[in-house]
Amino acid sequence: MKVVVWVLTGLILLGIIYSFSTCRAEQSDGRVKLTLFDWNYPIYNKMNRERIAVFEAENPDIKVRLVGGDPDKYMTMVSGGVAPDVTFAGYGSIPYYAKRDAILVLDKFIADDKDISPDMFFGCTMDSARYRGKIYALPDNGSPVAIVYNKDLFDEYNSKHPDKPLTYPSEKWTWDDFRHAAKALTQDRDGDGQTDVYGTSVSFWRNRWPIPVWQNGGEVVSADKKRCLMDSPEAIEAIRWFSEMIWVDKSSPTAYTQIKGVEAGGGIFRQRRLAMGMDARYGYTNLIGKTDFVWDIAPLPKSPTTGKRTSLYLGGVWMISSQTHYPQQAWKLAKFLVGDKSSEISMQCGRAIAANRAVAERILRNPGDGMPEHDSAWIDIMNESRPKDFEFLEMGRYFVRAMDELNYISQGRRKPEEACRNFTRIFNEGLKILWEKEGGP
Amino acid sequence: MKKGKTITTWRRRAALAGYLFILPNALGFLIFTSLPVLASLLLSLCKWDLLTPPKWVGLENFRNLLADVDFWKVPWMAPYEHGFMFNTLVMMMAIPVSILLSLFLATILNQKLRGMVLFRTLFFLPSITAGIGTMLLWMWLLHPDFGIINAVLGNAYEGLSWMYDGVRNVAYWFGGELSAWPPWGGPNGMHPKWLNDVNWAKPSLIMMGLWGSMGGMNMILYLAALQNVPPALYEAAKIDGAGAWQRFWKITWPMVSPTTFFIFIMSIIGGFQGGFQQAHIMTDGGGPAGSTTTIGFYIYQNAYMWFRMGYAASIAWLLFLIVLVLTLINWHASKRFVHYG
Repeated sequence: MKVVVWVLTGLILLGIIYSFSTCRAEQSDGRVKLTLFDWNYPIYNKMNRERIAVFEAENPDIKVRLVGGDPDKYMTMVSGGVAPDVTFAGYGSIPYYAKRDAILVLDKFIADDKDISPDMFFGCTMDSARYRGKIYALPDNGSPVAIVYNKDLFDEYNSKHPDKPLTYPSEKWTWDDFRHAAKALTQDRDGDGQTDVYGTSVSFWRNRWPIPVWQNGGEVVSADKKRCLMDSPEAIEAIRWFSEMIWVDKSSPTAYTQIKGVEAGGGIFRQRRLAMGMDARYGYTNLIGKTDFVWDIAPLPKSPTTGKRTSLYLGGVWMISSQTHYPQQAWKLAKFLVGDKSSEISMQCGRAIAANRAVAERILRNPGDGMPEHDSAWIDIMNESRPKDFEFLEMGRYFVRAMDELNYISQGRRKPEEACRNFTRIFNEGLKILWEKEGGP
Repeated sequence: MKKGKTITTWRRRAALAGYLFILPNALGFLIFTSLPVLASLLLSLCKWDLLTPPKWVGLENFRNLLADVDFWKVPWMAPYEHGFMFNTLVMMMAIPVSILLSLFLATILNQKLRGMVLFRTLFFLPSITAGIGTMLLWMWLLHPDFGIINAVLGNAYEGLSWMYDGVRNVAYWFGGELSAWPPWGGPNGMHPKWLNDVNWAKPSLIMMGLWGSMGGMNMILYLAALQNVPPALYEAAKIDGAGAWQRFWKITWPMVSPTTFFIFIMSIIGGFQGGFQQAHIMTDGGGPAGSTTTIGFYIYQNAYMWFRMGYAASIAWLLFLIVLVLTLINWHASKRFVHYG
């Protein structure tokens, strides 16, 4: 009995000592150990393991440990004092971390390193890595929003209406062309009064509606981030354009139809029930080899008033933690991750478009099997895009409530003018508190 | 004397061994449950964004919570806007229905018929099916345009217009209206838009919840309780001329009342904490327009989306107080209607 008690006690103590001993990375074999954090998807884990193998072969003095998880896990690690040395994140979180000194400023690293320059990357990706004029991250990959369209539905329409054929979407299109085509392609095939094929799907999701606002010369917030500008005539006109496609033309589903997956990559596009979606290149994973029709991509139409065509860039970046014990080695790793070899691996794994311009252009200009014909159009779209500049994490509930106002339009509960006015009021309330309590976004 | 001393030593050793055996569990509980609970109490009095040290703010989080319009508002204060407490309470209104349905099912499945085991298994299936799978399935069932529920309702629209009137009345109950919207005419007729409608999202989740809960663990508990009712009581009642309803009301209901009490208490606790998965998976983060954001999901939003840990902790403690008070009230009231043996 006595022996059992002592063995048990010993085991418990050993367990406790071991669990504490693994809390810190060590240099047990003389190599510097870095932790790399990325989202925990099997496809990304596979890609990162491949990237790490190449990096470790090139840098035998560094060992990289891959940790997968979501932003909650990352925050918990930072808060526990064991922040990963290099971390992947959506660019939207940079201001939050930068303001709290949780990540390193990279300007000096870039200036001192002849292998890397901001010109290597698409402009929108570099803009997404900046906060208050400083560079806080290296852009990895991303995608703007473009038109993803079903070519077969266009062909079918043209064979039935040879006198008034529709052209495929192109860089020449304006909103009017888009709206006309969307209306023409909307069909009630069985005559039961229900729409079977929608021309398009406009969404009051925050990654879609800012695009027409920007194209029309409007802005969501002022340059100094002190005022919301969604009640400007330009913004209201753009939102009305979206709204009219839902409620006047009825060429887009209402909010009631827009359950998850309604975007181009998801359900109704794949089921031939949507002629033109608005999607990022991330949506390819749901389309390539999974459709029985021909589809292609094109830039979003430009505003007929301003002639401006822009798109919204979504993407991820690599940040270096201010807690790292090895900033130079972490920089080496981050630099490798956005370099040619790593970016190539990233794009082959389906992670949208590499921020590394040379790699992205090479791959997009040589689309492989199953890729859409105009895959290279993404290059111009990337060059015309801009990152979101209005999504402030600290505004929390105000942000959600403001977004709700626009969503009410697609539910038929708000007219565009009223929704934009309410949006502006709520957003300004949030901004006021953010400036008063946190010194601004 | 020597013998007594040996016994004491033996007892001491036995006690020590006992403590050592429970030590791993007790340590785990203390370190991973008790300490975080205490820490959350302290956090509720601080402002903490996870990246900078917590800042003491006293009762400010609780004051802000009491003044939080999004938390407390009710639809008749602001049209279409449903507060999170209201959402939680509305969804909990299904608890009595769920309990009664479970009892009803258990009573049916308590019959001695051939193949009953198969039926019991079938009714228990929703409980062992992966939650995400069933939620995705329900999302398609409830799809406004392509869902099977609206397809059936659409086909039966003419013949079931009386039911639509009833359904509209239910919509009023939940704080909204069904007719005359969208104001300038929608393309998809009058069928409920379920998860995508501010007024229908909660009833949709309630419907799914009832489907999942009536045949689940509650039914099993009731089944066990029903099988413990002595058959002699029913025989005696029959001899005295009691009908089926009287036998149920005078024998079954009181005899299963401890189980009902247990299920009720657990459902209330679960109800206040619940709604997270549904909001996260089915309604794209508590939508539309916050109409399915429950207290549990609001805690998550504050803690892990906006990193307002202190505020999230204060909501969690308010939730704890509400649950504690309600449980105490239930406990006190149970003396009147719960019969043990």
